[in-house]
Amino acid sequence: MSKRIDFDEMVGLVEPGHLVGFGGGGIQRKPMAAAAAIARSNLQHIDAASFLGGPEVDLLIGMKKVRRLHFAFVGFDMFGLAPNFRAARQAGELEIVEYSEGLMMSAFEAAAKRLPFLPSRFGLGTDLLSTPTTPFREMKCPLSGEKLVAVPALAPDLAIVHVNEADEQGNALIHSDSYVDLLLIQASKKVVLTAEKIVERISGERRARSTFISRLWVDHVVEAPSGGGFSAVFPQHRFNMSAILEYQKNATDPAWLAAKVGEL
Amino acid sequence: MTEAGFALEELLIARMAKEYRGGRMGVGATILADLSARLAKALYVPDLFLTTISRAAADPQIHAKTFSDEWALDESATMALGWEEMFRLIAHQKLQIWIGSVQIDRFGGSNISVIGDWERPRAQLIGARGIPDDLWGCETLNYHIRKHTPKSFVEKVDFVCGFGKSPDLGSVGVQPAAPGVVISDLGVFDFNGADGAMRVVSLHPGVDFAKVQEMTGFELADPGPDVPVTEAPTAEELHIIRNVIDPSGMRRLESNEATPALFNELWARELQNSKAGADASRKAASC
Repeated sequence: MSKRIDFDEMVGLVEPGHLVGFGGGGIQRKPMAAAAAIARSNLQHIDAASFLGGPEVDLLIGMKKVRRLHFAFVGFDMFGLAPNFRAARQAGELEIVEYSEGLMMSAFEAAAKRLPFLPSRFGLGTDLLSTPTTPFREMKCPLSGEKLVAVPALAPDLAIVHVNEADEQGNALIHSDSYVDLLLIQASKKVVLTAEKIVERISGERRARSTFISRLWVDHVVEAPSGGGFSAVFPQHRFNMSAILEYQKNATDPAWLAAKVGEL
Repeated sequence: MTEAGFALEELLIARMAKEYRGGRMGVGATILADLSARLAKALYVPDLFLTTISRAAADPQIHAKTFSDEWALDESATMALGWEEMFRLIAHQKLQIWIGSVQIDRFGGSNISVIGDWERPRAQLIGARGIPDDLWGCETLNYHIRKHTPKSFVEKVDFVCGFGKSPDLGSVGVQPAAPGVVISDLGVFDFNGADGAMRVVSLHPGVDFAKVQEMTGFELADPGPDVPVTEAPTAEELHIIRNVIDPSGMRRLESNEATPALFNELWARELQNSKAGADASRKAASC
């Protein structure tokens, strides 16, 4: 049975209030075409989760789609800050839940294991435990008595991950850094992969350092050549530096951003 | 370039390289710090385990830094290091890192999340990222602060991403990291001053203590006239930096001459080089 859908059908899976998790990291392998499809739609008030957020959440924030953002980082790696994330936060217009990398991994892992929480040491002694939206609670280990942090499960309604190739059944390969995309996929209630290409069958022969995603986790696949937009998708294409610099310069201009979202 | 024949960036890379120990990961979260890990592996710690922007190209051989290390390191990388495995390595304290913090305080607290009030910040930065985790995965946390000003060296950070000396943690099962070495464009510092406060270890050539105090948002102990000068990079270090790990000059992106034009210039050169490399290997393959 083919799991192939198009971007309109993908957008149809999202409802207001849903939590949508995005894969990739910074300006690497971001599901830009998928984010742009959501940004173009009439959807509003969605919640977003991005381990290492980049232009995908930035453009959704700029298009006023995001009510609440769960993240450990949002930025453009060596190119600096994310313009709309920054502007929205400084205007007091974006609600956030701030994690560290390790805390977000535990939140996804708890959801993947269908546990209410997992314990961690990360966050102890830091202000992440005292933000107004903090989901974390200090706890005493019932076995050793030591102080730990309870990290509640974070289960997105939909995960969207960009991959190098997928087959119609949903098996897929990521050739670059897979970040925490497997945890995100396993934590989420529904999973859509956008793929540079859809192949007849993911072959048994693959790059030794690639990450394999099983069809058992995947609900839908969208064929999306260049679906990473101006982010880097190894080994297909490097990031597009002039597009990144142009985005950073202009993206807080709503007319410019709307036109950009139309192109992506 | 100074009269001494080296640039400040080269001095910083060489000095940061001295802090790595073998058999562990060496990670630099700024461009200069990344180069320092490569320099350390080239000259001082051959078994240093490098990871760069991409964990898919981990434990590579020494290689010139590029914008797209995933491509550049593909041939020589040993493994793809998954993030879950990396965090287990962190749990076993196998991480050594230079963090690029926006604020650092008197007792070594660090902040890359927000300036001002968290609920409505004056400046939203990048988020706490891995600092709260690194506290539990390193013996010490080292910080590279690019610009030493009263706004970056502060009495107390606006948001604690990393805690400094002697946090009140209660009963914890593992000893967390202590703040280690701080390097800025003015000097080198550690936290072995009175009560664990920041103190001057050395000042860079041409910098005097009055200047450092003026640019620091809290009082530092005066190190006196015999304060050491940060050691200059050796000829061997300069050779490795300029000809092996950074021939294209990526380090200039963290100098005062960094502009979008410099990004574009270095990027154009990288694309040209990669195209030349690809053409050469195609030619070799067809022979």
